[in-house]
Amino acid sequence: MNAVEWGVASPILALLGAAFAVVAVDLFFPRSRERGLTELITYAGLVSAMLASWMLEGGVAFNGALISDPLSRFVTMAVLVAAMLATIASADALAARRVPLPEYFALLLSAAAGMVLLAMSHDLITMFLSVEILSLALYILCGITRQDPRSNESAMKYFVLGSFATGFLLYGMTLIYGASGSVFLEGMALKLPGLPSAMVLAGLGLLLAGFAFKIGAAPFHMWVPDVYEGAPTPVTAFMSVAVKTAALGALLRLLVSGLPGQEEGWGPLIGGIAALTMIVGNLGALGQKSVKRMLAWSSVAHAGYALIGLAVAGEGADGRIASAAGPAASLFYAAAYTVMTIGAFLFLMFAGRAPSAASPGREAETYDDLNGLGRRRPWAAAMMTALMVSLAGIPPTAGFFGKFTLFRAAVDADQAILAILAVVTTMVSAAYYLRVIVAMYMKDAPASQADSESAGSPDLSAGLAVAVSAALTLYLGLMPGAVLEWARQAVASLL
Amino acid sequence: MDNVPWLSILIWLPAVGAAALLFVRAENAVRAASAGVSLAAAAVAGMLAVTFEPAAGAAMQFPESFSWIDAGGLDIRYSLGMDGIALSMVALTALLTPLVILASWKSITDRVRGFHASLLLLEAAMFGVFLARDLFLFYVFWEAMLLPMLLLIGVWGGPRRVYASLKFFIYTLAGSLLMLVAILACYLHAGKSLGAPTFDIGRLAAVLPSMEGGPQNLLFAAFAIAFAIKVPLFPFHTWLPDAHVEAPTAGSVVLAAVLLKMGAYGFLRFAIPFFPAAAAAFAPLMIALSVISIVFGALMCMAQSDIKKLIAYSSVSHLGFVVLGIFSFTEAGAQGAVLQMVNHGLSTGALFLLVGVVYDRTHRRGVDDFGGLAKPMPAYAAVFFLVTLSSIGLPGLNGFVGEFLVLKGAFDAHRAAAVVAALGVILGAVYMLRLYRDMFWGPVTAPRNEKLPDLAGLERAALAPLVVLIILLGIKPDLVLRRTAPAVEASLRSVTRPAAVEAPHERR
Repeated sequence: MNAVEWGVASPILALLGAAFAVVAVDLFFPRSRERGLTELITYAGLVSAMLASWMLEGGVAFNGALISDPLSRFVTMAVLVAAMLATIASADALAARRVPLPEYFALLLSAAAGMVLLAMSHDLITMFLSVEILSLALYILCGITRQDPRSNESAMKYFVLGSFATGFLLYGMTLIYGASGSVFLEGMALKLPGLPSAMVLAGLGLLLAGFAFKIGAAPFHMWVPDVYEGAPTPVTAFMSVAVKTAALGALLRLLVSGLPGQEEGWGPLIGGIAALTMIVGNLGALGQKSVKRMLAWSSVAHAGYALIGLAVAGEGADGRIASAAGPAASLFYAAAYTVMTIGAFLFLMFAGRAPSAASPGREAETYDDLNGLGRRRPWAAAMMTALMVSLAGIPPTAGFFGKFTLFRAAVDADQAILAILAVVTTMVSAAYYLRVIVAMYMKDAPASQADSESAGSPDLSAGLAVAVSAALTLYLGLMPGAVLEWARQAVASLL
Repeated sequence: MDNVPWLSILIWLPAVGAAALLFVRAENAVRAASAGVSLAAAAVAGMLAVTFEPAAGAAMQFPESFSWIDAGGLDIRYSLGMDGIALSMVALTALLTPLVILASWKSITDRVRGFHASLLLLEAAMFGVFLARDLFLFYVFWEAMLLPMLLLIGVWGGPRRVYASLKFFIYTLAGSLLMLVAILACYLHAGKSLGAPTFDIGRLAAVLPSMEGGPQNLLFAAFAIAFAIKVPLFPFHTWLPDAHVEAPTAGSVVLAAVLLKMGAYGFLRFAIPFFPAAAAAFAPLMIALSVISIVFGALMCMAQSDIKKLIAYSSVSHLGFVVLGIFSFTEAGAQGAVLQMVNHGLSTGALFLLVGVVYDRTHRRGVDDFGGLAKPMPAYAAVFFLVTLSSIGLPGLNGFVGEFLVLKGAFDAHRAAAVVAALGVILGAVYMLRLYRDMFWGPVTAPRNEKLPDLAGLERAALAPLVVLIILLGIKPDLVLRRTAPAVEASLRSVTRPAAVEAPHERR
């Protein structure tokens, strides 16, 4: 196999190509024309990556380093949809804060490329490299509004803690490699039969710590609220969903296809992380005054729900996992989480005032900022209501059906205790999601605020992104069949 | 005619109507459109009630079924069907929704469009709950009721509306999420014994009763808690007085007349036929709780000075009779319970409408705020009197037959419980008559009440159908009983005649 299989890598190449093209725009075109061109190239890159991932045949490439299969396609699509929605909402808001758009979009595209690479990586080295690519891009994106001290703090925290986490990840990979003698997932699966040894367990622990950090799962979640709050909202929206989905996909591939025989080791570990994450995330979200911080904590909680499916995979007799239902439920939940959370974050931009020549705009921050929104902006409030209902897990929305499939997998695997814990924490979560609905519909804005709000126009590009994610949330709730079946095939392809 | 999906039309008509309201501008046009949609739904429901075939036994009529979600190993169907119990509840819902729209014509002036859209969405979800024949579909409708009701209480309610609406929401959600886990366990159990898991309610009722004792008790408890919160049964009732007091008139009426019935409906439709052994084992506890609800609710009524709160607690007491009748496991008791569900919907719905009338005029609802109202408002006093008598179960009016049947059934099964419950009937007469005396008799106590206008046209129109039915069902309760009998018998069969439903494997 000497021919280079460019086809498999084409989605990544499309994204990176677009990133370079965007930088070139910065070099060769005057400032005034930058904006339209960069946006155009970004959309072109995202769409062609989607098409490439969708249409090209699957297969293994680069001597087994990259793989294109239903799982990678599923995660790629979720990541690119998130990138698309973030892009829609980005340009206006960031241009108003004097962020150089070519740099911004180049970094966004590189981060997306890293995530797609992560979803496709088929050995430990590629996996590690892609984590680094996406992380470096995101560190800079968090701090890209340089005049804002909170943005600086966000980038700094993320960078320092993130470096630690990648250290863990690398150490864990080293130990697994030491125990199995292979960095390739198939090789690991062949050479690690039987009970987990102490070395494998230690490696697994460190590996999971690294991934838990990237996913934002307890007890490695401490950075999440500060980083998510400080980063510019489109960046927060993008990273809160895309990193999680990509990392979850990679973790799923690593465990199901690389370490299926070690389920006795990782199953309970992930179950513990999921349980702790649900509790910590929901309790953390309860006490927040800032909606953005609340959503950050809620994203921690949802990472816990998504992990339930992996935790209940179970070990079958043939050295494979017992059932695809659990991991498939996790994947479906990641997709549901993607559409509902990105919409909720972007809504904060939509609910405030759009930037204009006179002012840099204002985002909604606290619950009180949303008071009376149902009266002032009925459509915005209605879309946010759909997203909140979905996050709270109430039908007919994506969040409900996602939880439903997760609970089914847990009850089926005789781990109803995880489902019951999820039920109890979901009840707690209703309290803080409902506060948004209460503020929008049941409280009135003070007269002064109502006047100043009506002075500026709403950020319609953010509004478009919110509308799309609200529509997708309802679609996944009412007609979940196709995506669920896709998720099932994605997991089945690993078995 | 046979191939028309009437039940789907019934459910989706109000839902589509709610969406259509978004495109109507003028407030009066919104009200008229909303009334029109609900009247159309009532016409469909009336047509179904007439064509419903009582002689067809417990079989589901007007069935519809097609695959909804068939992926990832799930088999979820959109299937609907109607038996006598569902029919009576659907008819009640279809009757009351247009009435509350009439009653809200003048009293709701803020965000009219949102109000009517919420009300119609709620109606659609309520129809869905009663007609669903797939457990997943049922759960979706069950939860879909939460948001419109939350908004009805929280946006158009009284001063403590936010607290009351959140309390309602979280209590109900707590119960229903536990039920969701139990529903999944049922689904998977059916998969183990049938070979293929199913949410089909009929097939689940055939296979679940053979489940062994331990899991059966747990699952029954999960369902029973969800339904007990909805009924509400003591000690799960604390959300009810808050929700009722703060809700606008329309919310109170729908809540009392239909939403509370869903708990009792759930017992009859799911908890008992699915888990007969557990239901029999838990029956003493359920009967004790229902008797406590009857007496406790009645005693709480005696102590209230807020009319709405008084009626709210009277619901706790009356719904206690319903649960008592169901868990007597006698045909008389259960038939009486279903009849009481209808009766309570009519008379308590009417009571809340009546309180709304004076509240709209005075913005007060303390018992002390009124006195001698019979003088300025004679027609109002007359209707109130009739409804009061219906509520306390005077022979000749609807309340009597249901209460009598429940007590007869309970007396056959648990004599002591029936004796204590009968105390609730007496207390009921005391608090309702006392309320009537304080509000209507004697001289007008407050000068501001001297010139209160009597019932207006819209109010008369809203109350008239209820008055007619209160009298009609008193004379001819058979209108309901004849249609519900086969369904009630079927839902108790697994408890009263366990042999008849055993061995589902051979059946399949």
